[in-house]
Amino acid sequence: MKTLIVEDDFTNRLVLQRFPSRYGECHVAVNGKEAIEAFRLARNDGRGYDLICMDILMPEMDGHQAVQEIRGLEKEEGIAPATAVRIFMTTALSDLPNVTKSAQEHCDDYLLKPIDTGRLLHDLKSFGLVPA
Amino acid sequence: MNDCVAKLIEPRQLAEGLEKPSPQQAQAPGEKEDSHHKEANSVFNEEELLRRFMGDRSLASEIVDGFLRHVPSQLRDLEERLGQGDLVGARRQAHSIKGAALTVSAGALSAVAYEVENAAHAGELERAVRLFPDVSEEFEQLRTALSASGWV
Repeated sequence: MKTLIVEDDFTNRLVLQRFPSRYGECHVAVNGKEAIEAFRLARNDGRGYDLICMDILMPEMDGHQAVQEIRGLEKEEGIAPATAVRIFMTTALSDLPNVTKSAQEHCDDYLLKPIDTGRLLHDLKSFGLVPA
Repeated sequence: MNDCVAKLIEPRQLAEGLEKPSPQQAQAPGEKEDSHHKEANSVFNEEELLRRFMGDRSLASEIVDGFLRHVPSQLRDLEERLGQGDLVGARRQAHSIKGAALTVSAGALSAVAYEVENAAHAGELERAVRLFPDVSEEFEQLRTALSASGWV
């Protein structure tokens, strides 16, 4: 599994990197702009990400905009939804508009902060990203 | 995704879905309110921290250590932004400190950081500036509590 963690907060990065890094390469971006750049570079190298953990409220570019652009790039490339990158929103924002927007952006999961590592691991397994 | 879509149909289910505990954190009815109460008010909730890290004290300790090393620079940044009247930057930094504090189960610090975040978001610079010393004070309290309980 190849993972991109998009998170501006240091402490949360420590938590989110912990499990994915046990199962393969794990990269970090600190805002939406960096995330799109990392996504492009990985695709160009022919080794795209399997999972993106995306914060919402970040400097430069927020998580929603980054996800929309990433889904747009996938569409341009003709990538089928089944093989598209899994995107887990990882955010402290629990309001309905943010959850709705994430669903419309075809995010796969919505994990509320503070991150429960048991829940994260459970969801990685249920999406088949790490061995059950 | 399916889980997400299902939640959108029924807002009440959504709220429950978001709060749905993982199998590892299932708890008896009645405990929940109490633990929320503790999270919201305590300087440091060790029990809640360990539960979220699946009882792995060494992992939790690593996160606490990283948090303690990094937050002082975030506090300096927040103070600077408030001093410059940069409400957008202050809101973001306060939000970040709030999230980091929640990650280490520091309810009181998280609560005051959230107040600064809200004040900045509402454009109330004066209130945000007035609240800042509380954030610093709560961080010191937390450091003391962590030290007293053998986490550092």
